Amino acid sequence: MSVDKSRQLLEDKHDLNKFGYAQELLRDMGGFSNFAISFSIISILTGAVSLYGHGLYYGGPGMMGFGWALVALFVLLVAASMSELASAIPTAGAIYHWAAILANKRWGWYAAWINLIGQIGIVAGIDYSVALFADPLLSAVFGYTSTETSILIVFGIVLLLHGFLNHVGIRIVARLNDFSAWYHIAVVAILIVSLSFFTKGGLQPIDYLFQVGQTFSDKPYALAFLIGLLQAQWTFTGYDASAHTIEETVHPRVRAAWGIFTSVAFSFVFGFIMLAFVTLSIHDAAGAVSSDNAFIYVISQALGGTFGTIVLWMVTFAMFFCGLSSVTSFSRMMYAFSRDYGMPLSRYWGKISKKYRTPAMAIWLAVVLSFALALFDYVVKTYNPNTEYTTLAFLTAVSVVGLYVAYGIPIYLKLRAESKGVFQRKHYGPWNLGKWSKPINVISLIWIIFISIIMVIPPNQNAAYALAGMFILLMIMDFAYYKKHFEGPQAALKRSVEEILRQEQEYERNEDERHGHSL
Amino acid sequence: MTTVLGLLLVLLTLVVGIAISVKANQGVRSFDHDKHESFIGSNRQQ
Repeated sequence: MSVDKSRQLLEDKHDLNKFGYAQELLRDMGGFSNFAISFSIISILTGAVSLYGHGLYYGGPGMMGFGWALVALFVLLVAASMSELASAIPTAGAIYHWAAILANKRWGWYAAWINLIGQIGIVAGIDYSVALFADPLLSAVFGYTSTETSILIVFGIVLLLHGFLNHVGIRIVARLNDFSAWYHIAVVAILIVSLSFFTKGGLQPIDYLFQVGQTFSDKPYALAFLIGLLQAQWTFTGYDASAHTIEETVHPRVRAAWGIFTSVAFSFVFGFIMLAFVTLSIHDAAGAVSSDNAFIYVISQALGGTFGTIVLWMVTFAMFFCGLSSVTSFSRMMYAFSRDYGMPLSRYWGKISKKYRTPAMAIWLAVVLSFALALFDYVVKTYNPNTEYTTLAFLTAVSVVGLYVAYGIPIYLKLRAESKGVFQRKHYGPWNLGKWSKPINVISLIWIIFISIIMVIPPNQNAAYALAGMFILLMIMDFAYYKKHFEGPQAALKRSVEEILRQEQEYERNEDERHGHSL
Repeated sequence: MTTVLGLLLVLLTLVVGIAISVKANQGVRSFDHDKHESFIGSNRQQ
C-alpha cells in the first residue's frame, strides 16, 4: 500500500471516529468503484428498459425524448444537493444520519425507515425486472411456460445469488460493480450500433423521438405523460448507494460526492442515447404496447429473433449487476441504522462478519424483505387477478416515493438548520455548490413533492395504500417504543476514543489472522 | 417545432450538469481544511 493511501486511510478513519463510529467495514473502494455502484443501481439497462412499455403506453415516443431529459434535469439538482450532504457528513447511515444530526433523532428515525421502505421497493423492483426478462428467455431454453409463479421463483433465486455474493465480500462486489459500469456502456454501444445498421426498415426520423400528443392509454395526454414519467424517475433512483458505501470508500468527502453526481449525469447521457435509438427503431408502437414486454418486442422486431435474443440476454445480465449493487447499498443502510439500535433485533442486523467484514445479517434481511414485498403483491394478485396495474409498476412506485421522500428530508433539514444558523459555511465539505446551494436545494424539494404525488395517482393508487399502511405501522412503532428508547447517532458520540480504538483493533487483528492463514 | 424544443431541453440538462460540475470542482480545489469543522449535530452544538 502506498504511503499516500495509508495517510488518506488514517485521515478517513479519524474523520469517521469524530462521529463516534469505529472503522468496522473494510475501506477499499476507490473513486471509480464508488461511482460504479451508483451507476450500476441507476442502471439505464434496468429502469429505462423494464419500464419502457410503461413510458411508451402513457407518453408515446415523446416520453423517451422529453420525459427522460425533463426528469434528468431535476434529478441532477437532487443529486447535487445530496452530494453536498455526503461531503459534509460522510457516514454510511447517510440519509438517516444526515437527518438525525441536522435536526434530531426522531427525524432521523423516520427518514431511515422511509429510506428503508424505498430500498425494499428498489431491490424487489430490480430483481423482479431480472426475473421478468430472464424467465421468458429461460423458458425458451428449457421448454417450460413462463407464468407469474415461475417469475417469482426466478426472482427468489436471483435474490439468493445476490445475498451470497454480497455476503462473501466487498472486494468481489466492488470488482463486479466496476465491471458492471463498463458492461453497461458496452451493451449500450452494441445496442446503438446494432440498431443503427441492422434495424429492419431503417430508423425513424428524429422528429419521432419528440412526438408528443399520442398516448395508448384512455387518459388525457398531459396526465398520461405525467404518469409515464415513472419510467425515467424510477431509473434515476438508488444513487444514495455512493453515500451508503462511504465508510468503504477512500477519501469519501470528495469521491463519494462525485460518485452520486456523476452517476446521475452519465446515466442521463448514455440513457438518452440508448432510448433514442431504441425508440427510433419502432415501426409498430401499438403492437409494442400491447405485447407482454414492449422492449423485447421492439428489439425482436428491429433485429430479428436470434440477434434480438442475444441482446436481451446481455440486458438481463446488466440488470443482474444492478440488483447486486442494490443489495449492497440496502444492507449498508440497515447496518448503519442498526448500529444505533433503530430497528427491532438491531444487535443482529448491526453485526459485521469477522471473516468477510460485511454486514452479513443485514444482507440476508435485505433479501428476505425484498422477497416478502413481491410475494405480498403475488398473493394480492392471486386473489384479485383482474387488477389493472403490473407488479413492476407497484414495486417501482413504492421505491420512487420511499426513496425520494427520504432524499428530500435531509435536504429540507439542511435548509432549516442553515436558516437557524446551526449548519454553517464551515460545515460544508469540499464538494459544495457555494451560493448555488440554496436555490438548488429548494428546486429539488419542489420536484420531490411533485413527483411523489404523480407516482401514486391512479392506476398506481395501490402503491399509495401500501405506503400509507407502512407509515401507520411506523407511527405505531415510534409511539409504542422508539420515541422513548431510540437514542440515535448522538449516542455514538458518548463513546470514548478508547472504546472505538479497541473495536477497530479487534477487526484489524482478525484481518491480520485471516491474511496469516491465507499465506 | 417540438423537435427543436426537445433538443433544447436536452441541451439545457447538459448545460446544468456541466455548470454544477464546474462549480463543485471549484469548491473541491479551493477547500481549506483548516477552516472546516465536522458537523456532529445540532444537539451537541447547542
